[in-house]
Amino acid sequence: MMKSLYRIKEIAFKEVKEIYRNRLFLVLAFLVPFIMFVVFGYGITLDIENMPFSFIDYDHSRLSRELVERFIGRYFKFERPVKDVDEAEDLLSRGALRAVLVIPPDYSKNIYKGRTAQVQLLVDGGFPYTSLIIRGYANAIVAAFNQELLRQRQYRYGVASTEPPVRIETRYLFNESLKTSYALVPGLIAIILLINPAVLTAIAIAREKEFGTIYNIYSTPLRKIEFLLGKTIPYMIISTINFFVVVTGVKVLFGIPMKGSLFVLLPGAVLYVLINVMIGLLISTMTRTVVSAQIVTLIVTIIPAFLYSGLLIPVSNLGVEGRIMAHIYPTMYFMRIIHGVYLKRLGLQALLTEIGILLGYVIMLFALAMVIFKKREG
Amino acid sequence: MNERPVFSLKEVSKSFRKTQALKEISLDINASEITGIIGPDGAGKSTLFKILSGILSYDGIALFKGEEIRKNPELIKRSLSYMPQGIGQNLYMDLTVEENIHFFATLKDVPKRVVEQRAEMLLQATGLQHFRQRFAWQLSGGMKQKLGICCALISEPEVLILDEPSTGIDPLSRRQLWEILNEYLRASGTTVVFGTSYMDEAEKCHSIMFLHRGESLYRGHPEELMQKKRGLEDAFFEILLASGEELKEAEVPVDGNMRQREGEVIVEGVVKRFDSFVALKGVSLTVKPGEVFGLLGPNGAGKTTLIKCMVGLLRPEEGKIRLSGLEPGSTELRFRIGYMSQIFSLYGDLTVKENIQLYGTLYGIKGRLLKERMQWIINFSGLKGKESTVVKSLPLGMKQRLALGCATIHLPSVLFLDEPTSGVDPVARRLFWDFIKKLSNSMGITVIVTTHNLVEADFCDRVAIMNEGEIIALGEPWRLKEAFTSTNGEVYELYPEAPLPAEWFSESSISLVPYGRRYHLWRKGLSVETIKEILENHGVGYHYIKRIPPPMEDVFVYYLTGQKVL
Repeated sequence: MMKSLYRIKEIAFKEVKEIYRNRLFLVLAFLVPFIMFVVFGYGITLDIENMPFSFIDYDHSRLSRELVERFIGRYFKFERPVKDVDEAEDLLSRGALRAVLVIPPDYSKNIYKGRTAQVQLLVDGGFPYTSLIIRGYANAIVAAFNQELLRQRQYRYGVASTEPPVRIETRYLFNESLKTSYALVPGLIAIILLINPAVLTAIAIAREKEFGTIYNIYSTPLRKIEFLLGKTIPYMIISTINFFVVVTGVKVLFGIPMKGSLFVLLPGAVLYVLINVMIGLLISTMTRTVVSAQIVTLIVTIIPAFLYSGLLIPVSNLGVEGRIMAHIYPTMYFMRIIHGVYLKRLGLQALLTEIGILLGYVIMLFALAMVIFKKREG
Repeated sequence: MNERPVFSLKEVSKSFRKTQALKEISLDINASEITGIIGPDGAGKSTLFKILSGILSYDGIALFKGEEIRKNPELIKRSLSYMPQGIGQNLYMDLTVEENIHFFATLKDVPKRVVEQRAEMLLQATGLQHFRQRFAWQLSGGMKQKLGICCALISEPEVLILDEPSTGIDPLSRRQLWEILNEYLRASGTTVVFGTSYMDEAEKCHSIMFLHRGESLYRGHPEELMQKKRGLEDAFFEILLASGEELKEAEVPVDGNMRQREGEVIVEGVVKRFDSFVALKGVSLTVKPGEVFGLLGPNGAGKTTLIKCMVGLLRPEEGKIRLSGLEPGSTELRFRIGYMSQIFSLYGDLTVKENIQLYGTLYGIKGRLLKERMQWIINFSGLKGKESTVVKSLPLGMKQRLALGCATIHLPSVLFLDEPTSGVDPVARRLFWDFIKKLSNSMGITVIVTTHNLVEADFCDRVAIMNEGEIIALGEPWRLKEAFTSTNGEVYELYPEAPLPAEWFSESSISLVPYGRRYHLWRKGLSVETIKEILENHGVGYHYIKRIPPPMEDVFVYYLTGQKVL
């Protein structure tokens, strides 16, 4: 037993030395996940200013012009006039516009009568995160406008009213069920911790196969479990470090707060990382070269990460097949933990099911690796 | 040695999908011997080694100490060290020399307290003691292989399986590798299985098996073969011919005979520096038109740099080079030289015809001439009927002849060959060299060839031995041998009835190099009587003592290690 632990430790140390001394590997281990995080994160958030905007004003009043003027500024840039809703939808679908404000004919009449006027904002829902931000801006703009109106109303008529004069309703085109804001950037944690550990570990064994050092493992009395554990541990540690880096990035770079506790997130993260290390391990037991191991891993991880994780499209919105896929891939469960911690302040108790499922995956995958990895060639 | 053999194979076969890698191999491997598995690339050597190491399944019976390997493959792994094929293949390139050795000690459960002492001993024996902190990737090919052996020996294995440990490393490193093995074997009684494609290396083994296309063509002791033939290269050549391999006369292209001999090469005082490192320290040589000229020397001696300077890929700082009177790098000259580097100059995914066409286009050969030359190349490389075969699926020997054909499609004045025949069987090698002779004799093409295979040095008209950027010997092979005997005396081959300790002979300052069960000995003024006397004094009988021409390897090592006698 002690000897076994010693051998596992030595294999892990050897692995760490190799990573540390191989610049390419070091970059792959630490720089790439960080860059991925920043690129994905800003890729989704950067074009949040100067969004192409237009409006359809059926009211043609002073009040409607005032509202439109408030919209046009730093966030929304007037792109081109639009004559009706059909044209607006067409332009939105082509990406020529991101948002169109629709002001109904009875808008100013309702305000003057002290009733609440409804306006509508048509938003391209294809980019959920952007759409959420747009809704946030629109609400803020309308709220400021309302305050102004209420102040004027009180000044003119001396009545304090709590009813907002204008209410804006956001309608998402193409993806109507956006739920939570601040969901996307934390969600990236699940993506980074999926792709990176899997790719790294896949390389780790495939590289030994390609260079020929795997024969040292094949032809010595070393046990399978010792080899697999020794290989797993360094990548688990690297990915756990990356987890902290990304969590810090979510807060520092994107200013997104974590409502719940890091200690609730951590066990899920460690298990999740382990799962993905195992996925890499499995792939590299089945491939022969580094390149093929990498390509297979990327295909197996990236596609489900974006499609079936609930990151861009909520799982409940997927078709039956999609929902089955989502339940098979472990990402969804960790995504729930992330959302639970970041958005809902959930405790460990509430997330026990998800953590349990992740643990199950770890055990299952390791058992599978033990069965599939053979200390021989054929 | 009447003990039970360590390995006992009976009709062992192995197939990979369509190809049969091994066909009913039967073989006994005896304890405390070096058993050589000799064969060209693709003969099935690696497959056999993997079966012995318990990492490959097989059909038939394969016993290790009486136990079927298949049943308990982990058993053999406790007594075994296996070194896979390829230079530094078993090493971790990002670990240092010491770290590599220690990691292997861990893998093989060597108790910590003995590791240090053993590592020290092995480092000393291999001369790696000054490079402990070097990373494996910083070592030369020969050093990597020595480190590989250190790693394999750290567990003091009962069985050592070495898959082509000497391929691609220079003859001097190879000699040292054998010294380490012989030394270690004598001290420990380890059983060694040694794979090689250098036929002359078989002479150094106790027992040999000659593998060809998965079949065992010969099993026995090298001495039996040596009695009939001078060298094992010739012996295996005969065996192959007997097994049905064909040897065809090489042809000359129709317009080949009308050429003038013009490929004179003049190199004068060439100096080439890389930063502070001087790769060539004033090299001078002249190669006559139509001569076959060999460049020998250890890795890093400057052979490749010299060739690159001649071809025009590198510009020397000092000195003058002229090929057919032209300066290297000039466009005119490019059409008058040919270059073949191993087999990598072919496009594996193109067919034979497409490869030839491509080379024709590159050298501006088209129309009827291209058709003629194509026919010629296809004929001499034995590829008739395989014109539409994809090159990567051809046997190595054919690929090499095709590559040679492509390099000569424009009938150059000077042809450069970089290790052209490594890994091929003796028949393929003979075909290759027959053709080279034809090129030089009938067509007057000058051929400059580098090689680590000293069998090939004897095929050259003249050879130059290079070391550390200088030419240290230059002349016809027989002249170099003569120079060797005039300083060291004649070389004798002795086949004693029992192994001989080196001390018996070092007392009388006689050099003794073990070759399997036989020995080569020499000293100035040494006579057969002196040898007989020493044997009698120690009461050892012998099968024969005979004078032999000094093997090129001994000559090579002699020049490289200075005037000092080994």
